[in-house]
Amino acid sequence: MDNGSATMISPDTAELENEVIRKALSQATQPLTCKQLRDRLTGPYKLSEDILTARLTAEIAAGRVYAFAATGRGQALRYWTRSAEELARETLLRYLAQRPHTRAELLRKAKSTLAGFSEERQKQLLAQLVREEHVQELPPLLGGRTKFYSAKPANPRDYLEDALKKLGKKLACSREDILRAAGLLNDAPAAVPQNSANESLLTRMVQIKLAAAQGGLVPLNELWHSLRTEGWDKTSFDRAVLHLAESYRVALQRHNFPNSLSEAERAELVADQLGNYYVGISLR
Amino acid sequence: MTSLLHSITNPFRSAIVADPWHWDIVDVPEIHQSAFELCRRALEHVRTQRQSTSILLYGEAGSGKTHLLARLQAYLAGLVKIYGQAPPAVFVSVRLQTSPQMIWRHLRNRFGEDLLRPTTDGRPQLERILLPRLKECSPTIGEPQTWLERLQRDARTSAAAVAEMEDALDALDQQAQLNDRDLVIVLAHLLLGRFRRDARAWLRGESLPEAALAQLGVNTDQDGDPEERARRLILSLSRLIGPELPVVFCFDQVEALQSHPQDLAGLLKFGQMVSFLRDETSNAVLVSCILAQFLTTLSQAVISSDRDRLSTFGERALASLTPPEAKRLIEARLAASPDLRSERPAAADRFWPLRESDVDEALQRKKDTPRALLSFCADKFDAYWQPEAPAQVSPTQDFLAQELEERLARSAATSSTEQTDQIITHGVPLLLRLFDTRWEQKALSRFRDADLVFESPRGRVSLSLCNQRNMTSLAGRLRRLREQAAEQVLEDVTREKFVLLRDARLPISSNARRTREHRDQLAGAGFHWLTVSAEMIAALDALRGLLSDAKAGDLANGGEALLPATVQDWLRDSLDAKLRPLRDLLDVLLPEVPATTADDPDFNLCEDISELLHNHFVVSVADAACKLDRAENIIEACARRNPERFGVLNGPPLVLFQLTPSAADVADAPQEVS
Repeated sequence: MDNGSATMISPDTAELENEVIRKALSQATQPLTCKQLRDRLTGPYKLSEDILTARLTAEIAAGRVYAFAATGRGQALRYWTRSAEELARETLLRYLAQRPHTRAELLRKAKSTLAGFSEERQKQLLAQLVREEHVQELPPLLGGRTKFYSAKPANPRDYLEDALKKLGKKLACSREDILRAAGLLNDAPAAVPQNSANESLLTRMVQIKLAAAQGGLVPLNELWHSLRTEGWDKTSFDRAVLHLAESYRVALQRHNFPNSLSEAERAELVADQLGNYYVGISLR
Repeated sequence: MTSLLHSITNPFRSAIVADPWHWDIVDVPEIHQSAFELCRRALEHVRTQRQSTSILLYGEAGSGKTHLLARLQAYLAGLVKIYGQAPPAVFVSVRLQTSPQMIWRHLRNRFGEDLLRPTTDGRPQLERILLPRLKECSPTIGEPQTWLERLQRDARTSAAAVAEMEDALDALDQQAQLNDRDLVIVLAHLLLGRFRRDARAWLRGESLPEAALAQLGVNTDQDGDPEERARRLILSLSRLIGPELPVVFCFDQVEALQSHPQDLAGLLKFGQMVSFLRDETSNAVLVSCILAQFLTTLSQAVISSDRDRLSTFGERALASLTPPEAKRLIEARLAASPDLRSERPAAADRFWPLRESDVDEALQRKKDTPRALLSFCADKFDAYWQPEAPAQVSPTQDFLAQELEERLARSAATSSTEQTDQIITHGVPLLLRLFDTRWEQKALSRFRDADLVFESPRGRVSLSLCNQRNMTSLAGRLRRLREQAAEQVLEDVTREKFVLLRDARLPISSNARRTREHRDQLAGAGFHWLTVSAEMIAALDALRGLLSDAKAGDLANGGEALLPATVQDWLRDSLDAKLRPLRDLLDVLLPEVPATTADDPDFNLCEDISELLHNHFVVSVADAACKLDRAENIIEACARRNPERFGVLNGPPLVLFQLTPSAADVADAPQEVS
């Protein structure tokens, strides 16, 4: 029986190639030019730029791929599986995950990335993100009138630091003088390392995944990889995770079939003394 | 007293909510409140913004995902009152026990089924949503329920009543832009109570014979891509329901879309489906539930934009129970038992007959999901009431044997020919992998009308499903296969097999000459015709159900989810005994086993007898011989050669009867009852 090989490209082969193209585009963090896309394709899927352009044009017509204007000095169109609105959405959320921004500051920052997506639409999108509770509207700083936007709840420390700075300027004294005067600073040692570790772990969760702030799950192997680069060791990491779970600040999700995992895969997870392996962590 | 206590039902034993439509359960609203609130807010968002959205929920096995969906269903049905009046909405529950190539048809089937499901006032969801819509578009109809009752009464005798209904639906069609003539016609039938069985079947996407389609007045040409047809109908139904009324699609057991851990095709399709619904409808709340450990697999399988669309409105982990939640759950369970209430001593502890320390102990031992906690407390309860009784947890082998037996009985009683395609496309990949893990499902085939293609070092198997009730569609498929086969030659029949598969309960009528002719021609060209017995289908259904539940963490023995690999191993070991019909099925499917269909002299006669029994159920051999114009001894010999299809009762008179899985027990070897 023949193997079905043929010199003509069958519709199935073309569809498979299109799927690979879409997958490559979808994995990109921003729109790609045809050349950049080709660089990401391998083996039989490294199509010529002409064919790739034709395929992309067809995908655009079918509404599965979107074209974006060239940026900077480049002349080439860029392509992505996400629409201009999605690009804008991701861009705004990315900036707001880093720290709170005023609206003007945010729009200024996003301007070059979101060429072609009008400022008015960006404002509408920001309002929509607030309605959907992906972004929070934070109150102005002490004495200010401009509101802030952030993907995380307001951090009192930001407001306190700003207030201390303003007060220090007004009274011409140092931050420490003010804190000592308020009885908030003495010679006691700083917070115990465990607490500090816990807090940085919680902060990192939200940095890895915005949705973690609202109860979304962060894979523990991802969290571990992220903190390992900052000098954490696995024992301290496991201890901090289990400690946070015992104090009901976070909830852990077990792997129900740990025996189906390899030893290496299990080593990436957090284990307790009862033989449970945890795969994910979420804020309570 | 002791004997009375022994008769009290353990209030912790019924721990698993298997179906979101069942709400006869104890609920503690504080548990997973945040996830529930997220669902409520999403509903409100869709209602006010008129934009579809989606939520992703995940938790461990036994964390209460299905329970949460049941709470949502009950809330929308007005059975949960603490949140006030629920907004009107349509609830659709979809367990993803299906194959990637039938995912839209599966959704259409569930959508249709749930729209026809009666609500608390006895009326189906469909009627409840349609009447206000009709009133909105045709204000002159007055009070809609009274109007409908009048039309239903008059429609039997008056064409004017039918015309009035058509006018009202026409106005709705124009406003909602359904663009689906057949749907409007079927809606009229459903509302007027005409051709109910066939109209319901059509809405669920089931195959109907030409005569039934003609009677309904809908298009009898069922060619074209059935997945595309299903997708279009879902969009039309969504528009029919209207922009102000959310449709809550709850997707459970997403894990069941994988036939093995490396199989990502089903998940990719699922991501595309949710993404499409989110983008192309304006009133859908899409809630997907998965095991927490499955999140990484899902994220890798779907393209990233689809992954984002799975949780547009947010995602929530269903957290393990806190001590107050755990205690509240145990108290609620105890309080819901009327037997215990009457036995309770006046000064008893609130956890009586358990102790608070029991709950603390459970949490210390990490029995902190609702299912694990309830199972732990069930054992404690038994130990207090009946210390001498044996432990309730069965060994895994016994548990699985009992589960399989129950599922086989259930499938035999409930699986209909409409489900055959679904069961085959989902079950056969699992069966082949169970037999030999090297079998891989392939997407590409030279034959466009092949539904499933599998390859392994053993060879290649292609399956074409021929379960159409509509003989024109079946003849069309067989004709196309003949054309596709015309230039292909089956070179090595020990390495490659093309199987045309049809449910034995769907005989090919003697009038369907063209269909029979195509079949004979294909058989002559090396294609194998496989008539699948009801027993095989029931066994395949039980197998896929067990494996799907295991993958989703829903198969638990004593509170502990069973490892899918354990279930697979046990099923593999059971193929020669408890699952004998599946061994027989494998024997026909595997390429190295020769089949005898090309010159099967019994084929047409089998179909004729089957058709006769389909209409009359029990027929004497003498009558059958007379009706089929064949000698009695030929009829009898044919029936005895096909014991998987026909039952024979020794006479006199010698009688043939239609064999069903349950009847198979009666007519079991030697297939004769004097």
